[in-house]
Amino acid sequence: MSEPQNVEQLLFIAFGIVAAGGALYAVVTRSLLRSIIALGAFLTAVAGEFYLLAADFLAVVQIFVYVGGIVVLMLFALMLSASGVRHPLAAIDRPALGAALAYSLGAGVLWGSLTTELPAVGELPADAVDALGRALLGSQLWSFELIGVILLASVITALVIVRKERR
Amino acid sequence: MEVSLPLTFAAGLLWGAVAFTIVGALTAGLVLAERKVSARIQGRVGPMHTGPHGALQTIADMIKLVMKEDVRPARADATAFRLGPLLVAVPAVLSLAVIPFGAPLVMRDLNVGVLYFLAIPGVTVIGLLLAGWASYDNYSFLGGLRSSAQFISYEIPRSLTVVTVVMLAGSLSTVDVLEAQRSVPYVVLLPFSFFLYCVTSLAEINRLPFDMPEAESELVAGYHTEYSGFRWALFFLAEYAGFFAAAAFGAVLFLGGGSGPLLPPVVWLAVKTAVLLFIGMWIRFTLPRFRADQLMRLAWKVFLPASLVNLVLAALIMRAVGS
Repeated sequence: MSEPQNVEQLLFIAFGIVAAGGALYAVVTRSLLRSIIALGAFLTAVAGEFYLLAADFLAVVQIFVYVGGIVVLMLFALMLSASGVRHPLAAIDRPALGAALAYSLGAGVLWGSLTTELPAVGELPADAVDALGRALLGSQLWSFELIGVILLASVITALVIVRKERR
Repeated sequence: MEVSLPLTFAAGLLWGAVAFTIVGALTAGLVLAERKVSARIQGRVGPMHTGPHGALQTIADMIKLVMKEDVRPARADATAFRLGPLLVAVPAVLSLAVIPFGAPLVMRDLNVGVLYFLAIPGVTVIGLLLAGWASYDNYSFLGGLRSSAQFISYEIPRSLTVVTVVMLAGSLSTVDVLEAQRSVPYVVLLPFSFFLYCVTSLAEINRLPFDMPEAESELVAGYHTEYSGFRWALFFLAEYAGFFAAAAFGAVLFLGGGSGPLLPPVVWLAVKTAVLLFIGMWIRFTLPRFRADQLMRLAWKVFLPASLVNLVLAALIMRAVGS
């Protein structure tokens, strides 16, 4: 690899290292809490990469939804369930099967991303946020609405499950 | 062009230090103001002995805090205990980056600035949860859980409320939002949004009447019960930086930010922010605290529907009026 030419490149590499390190630590550590924090670091670093790739909106949404939402939710669930917090994770059943599944999935994703041609898309639109908004409520309206329906269904499902427990 | 990387990073570090110093000074000023305002409201005089009319009191307090011993409970989780205050203080300072202070002080005109301002405090919650849990203490733990629950609940109506401003301005950039208010500030066009923004902001920054996470009478001091010295000062800094950011952002979104006759924009923004800050302090020393369940009921059964109705009504009116 050639020497980094400017601050952006150097930051890109730095974020990449943090992301890879965070992801690795998240699966290696036996403390569930540390795993979640590492996941948060990984997600934040990915948001940094998005920002450097001129995808400001995606970067902020990444922080909003994943770091401020999902990670907080995981911490919240972990702390309310309590058992996993102070004790290391118990060994899972059939670790060989799990490892085989995880490795083959990871290898598949890696192979796919290395062999897929990613053509350059050309110039960015002047106002990317504007273009994104128009696409979401225009050409992509059906998928956008469908995601909304799926989320609504999951919320209702969660409510039903919680209510059953109480009876 | 060759860029000197060490020099760039040195400059970055320097700017970071400058930002933290400014926020520190701001905090000192706000604490003093809060003590003086509360004293006035309660018929006292407040701090008087350090400096003229007690003006140097907070400086003295800060020096005391920095020099204090850093106590860590024996059973606390060391890493999480150290990480907590950092994750609370850094986002609070970062959120100031997109506030357009006026000509000499525009730090970053991010084209998704409004979204950024709403997103960054989400990281704070992780810090609060960590601090509360790492302290290995029931008061801290309950405080941390309460604050995150409160934050998540009030984040939704607050964001929905800010959407009305974004719809009217047609942009997510804070600078564009200011531009759009050249003729009429949005507090005139969206009075109900302004009200909702103020109330949900008070809840989000954990101030009375919504300061459940650190309710002294039941939780000692909530998530920062076990903290002392500099780490405790970081929580305090974050709290006041958040208070200031919410007020300044409110001034930008609804009061036209730095626009005004004669005086430079920075002064106008400072005046408008100060008014909002004063109202925040006034409320703190006037209203009693809500109970935890009342607080959650208020968020989900009053503010969430109200903000949704507000959003739909604003959209309908905008449609009817034209542009």
